[in-house]
Amino acid sequence: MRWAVAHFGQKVAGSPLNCLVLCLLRHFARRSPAKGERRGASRTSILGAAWVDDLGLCKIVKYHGKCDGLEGGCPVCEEFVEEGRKSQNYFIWLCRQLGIGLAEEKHQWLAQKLEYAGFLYDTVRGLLLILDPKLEKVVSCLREWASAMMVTSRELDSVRGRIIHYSLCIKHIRILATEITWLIGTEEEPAYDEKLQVTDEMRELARELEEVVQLYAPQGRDLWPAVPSSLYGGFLRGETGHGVAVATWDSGPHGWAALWKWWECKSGNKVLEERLLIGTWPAGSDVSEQVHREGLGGCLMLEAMAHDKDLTGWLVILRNDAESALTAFRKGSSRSRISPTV
Amino acid sequence: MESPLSAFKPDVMTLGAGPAEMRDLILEKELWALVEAWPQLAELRPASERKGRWNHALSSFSATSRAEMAAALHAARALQGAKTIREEIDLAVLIFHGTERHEALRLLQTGGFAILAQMWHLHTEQFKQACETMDNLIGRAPEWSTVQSIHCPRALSRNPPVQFPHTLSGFGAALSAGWNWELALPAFAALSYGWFDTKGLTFWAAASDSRPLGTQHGTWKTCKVSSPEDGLEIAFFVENDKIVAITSNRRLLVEQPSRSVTAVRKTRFLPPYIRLATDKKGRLIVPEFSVTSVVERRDVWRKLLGNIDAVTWAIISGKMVYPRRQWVLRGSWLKNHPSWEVPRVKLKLGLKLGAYLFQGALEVVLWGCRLPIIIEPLGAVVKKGPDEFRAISDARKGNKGLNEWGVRYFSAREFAELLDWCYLMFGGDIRDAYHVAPFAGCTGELVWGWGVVGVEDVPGDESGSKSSEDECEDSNLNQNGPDKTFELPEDPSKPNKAFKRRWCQRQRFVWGWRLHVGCSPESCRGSQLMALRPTVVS
Repeated sequence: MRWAVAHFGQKVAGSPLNCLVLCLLRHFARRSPAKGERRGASRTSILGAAWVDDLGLCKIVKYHGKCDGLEGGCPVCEEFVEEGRKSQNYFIWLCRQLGIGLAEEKHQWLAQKLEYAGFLYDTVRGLLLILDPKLEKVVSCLREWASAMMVTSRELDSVRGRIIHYSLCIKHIRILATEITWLIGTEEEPAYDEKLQVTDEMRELARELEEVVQLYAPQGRDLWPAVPSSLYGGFLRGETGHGVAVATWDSGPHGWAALWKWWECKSGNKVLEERLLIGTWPAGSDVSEQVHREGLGGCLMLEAMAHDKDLTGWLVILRNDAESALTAFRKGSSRSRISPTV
Repeated sequence: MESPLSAFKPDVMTLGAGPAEMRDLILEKELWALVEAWPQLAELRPASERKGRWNHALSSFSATSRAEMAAALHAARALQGAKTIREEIDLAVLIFHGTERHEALRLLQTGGFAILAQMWHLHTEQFKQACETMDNLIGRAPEWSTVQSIHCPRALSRNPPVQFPHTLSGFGAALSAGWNWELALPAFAALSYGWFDTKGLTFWAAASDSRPLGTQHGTWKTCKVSSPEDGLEIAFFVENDKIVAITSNRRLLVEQPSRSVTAVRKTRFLPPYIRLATDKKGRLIVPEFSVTSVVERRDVWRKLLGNIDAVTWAIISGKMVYPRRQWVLRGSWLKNHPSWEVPRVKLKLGLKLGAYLFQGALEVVLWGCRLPIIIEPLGAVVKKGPDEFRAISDARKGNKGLNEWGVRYFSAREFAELLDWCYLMFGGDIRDAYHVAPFAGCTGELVWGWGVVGVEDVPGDESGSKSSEDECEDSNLNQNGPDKTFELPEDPSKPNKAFKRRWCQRQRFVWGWRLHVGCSPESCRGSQLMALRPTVVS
């Protein structure tokens, strides 16, 4: 028999397929703009993305502020449905004409929610969410880990990969994935497949992860998270409103100092409030390295801020001159064990 | 005396101060036009921001360029047999694309890319990588020398001539060595049949004027090309822009893999587990499209999509070639993985294989047809859902020596960037996507060949004749498919005769002439090694 290609191998089959798919996406995006419209941004444009054979396409809806979407009967969203249906019909018709078969059972019909690359996109709420079966899988794999007696580094690595992947749509789990990195130890064969005793520390981490996943998965993550520099610009111009603060701090061998600012509404006027915080290092702190100093300084600053004001639900822009310390706040540190414990 | 033209000052001159600036301006415009029409080149700019994406973009740039030029070679070879003006035009377009790509690469290589790199703010390292890639695609200066004699060991000229099996690899290597397009394309297009010497080290083209008998005297231009990964050095001897002889330091004659097949009984029946699936009502689920559908509809693509890039054009024209960096010099035939040798696996995946046969994605190599060069082991892995298993072929052997060909997939975050509040979305999934872009086979043309063209129900054979027993031979299957009219035997490992007969009443593939891309098993000349990625199913 001739060429039964590897079904899930990029080589040989995936690359030429990708050429065809990209050609289709270009066509959908650029097709027949009306007079005065720009090619690629017209009413007929269908913007799309592809992951191997999985296509996600979208139709532009004029921005009209937050609404309840089609499900809530928004008339503005409704206006664009007809155009959207035409686009979807065109997509199906075109594929058929071109000899490309679509799996009918996997069609996703026009809506403001779509599954793509294992995530659920909700453009009405502006959220990226985990799919229910995937959530079940994540939870069950964490429970399995917590209840196991032995585990291999490979299995831990698999859990870590899953957590990193879903950190796109679940808040606060990315930093915990780095904690798993410390447990994995080696990725070299054959130690990678050797059984390790599941310690209390591991169980604790698995339980914490499950708790965080269960708590934050339904909330999802912003589809369009704020760009820090733009958000900071908006803050300085007073456009961000309540709930956004900026904290700038620096550390030295003897202690740390921070200035944090936020907008407060006082008698109908917006006023920029600021507070200076200064502290020394707790006894026994390891502050010999700059990155550790800045990390510890940042933690103490946040603790002091929380004492000062209830920051629940606030967005705090952290400003510091040590990039690695800022990165450690975002996703932990796989190089230095001290930073995460800080 | 002042030229009358000096009074003529076109407006465009005001943009530049003199001829050098003017030239730069024209070049710049030419480059922008090139970027607009060449998506793989345009992709280098956004890809330069991230290392991973850059590597993918660069390998895609390289592989698609090679594929476009190889498609031109296929077209040039097919042009000799074109029957209609329409066919000639189709092939001429592919040759034009290949020629244009070669010219464009030369333009980039000779300063064009330096301008783009400056405009795109590429890093020095990225610029160097891109230049190396282009030099690898089309070398700068080949080293030609002249020889007066070629010693040709006594060749097998009494045997029928064979097709030179490495035309595409040789073409790619020649371009890498810097051959002119004007020489390489016709020379390799004309390179077809000839004779190998007994050691397979020398090939004498049948189209040459002389015959390979001992030492030949004359004047030939010769150029050596090498493939360091194979330790291969090949010399092409050219006379009147034709390749007359090829010598090598390694055996070029590829032998078909052999294994003892005495245990295999010849039969004209497929194993019974290979069949089309049926729905709940017992109706056949017939695949809507075949592996040739896209190629058959190439005119529809051109008409509806209009602006198609060159590599997509090559693929929809059936001229898809996957570039290699190593030559295929040895065949291989490896055993199927034990995971395949499980009745349940065969039963479940037999439905998939049946559909593939129906679509033409799998072709049966009948007794007497030449065996493929590389026969890959088939295996199975567990899969979620009703299918239970996924068929995999261990492609390590066949994939060895293939070039990287990067892909552009859009991450979840990138898709989010396309969206805004309240956008409407829809999605689709391509069925059997990996069989959409078929290989070019030996010719890249649509040809008629023997294959599965339909399915019929086999009438009940109550006599239990030999032929029906043949079909039922492997009926120790523990399931009788979704058709509930047939009951399972009590002990699946020992099916009773009645069960066997009922099994035989099911379906049988109908054979006939159907379209194939490039060649069919009976017409395959083994000249397109990249296409031969087979798997022995049973």
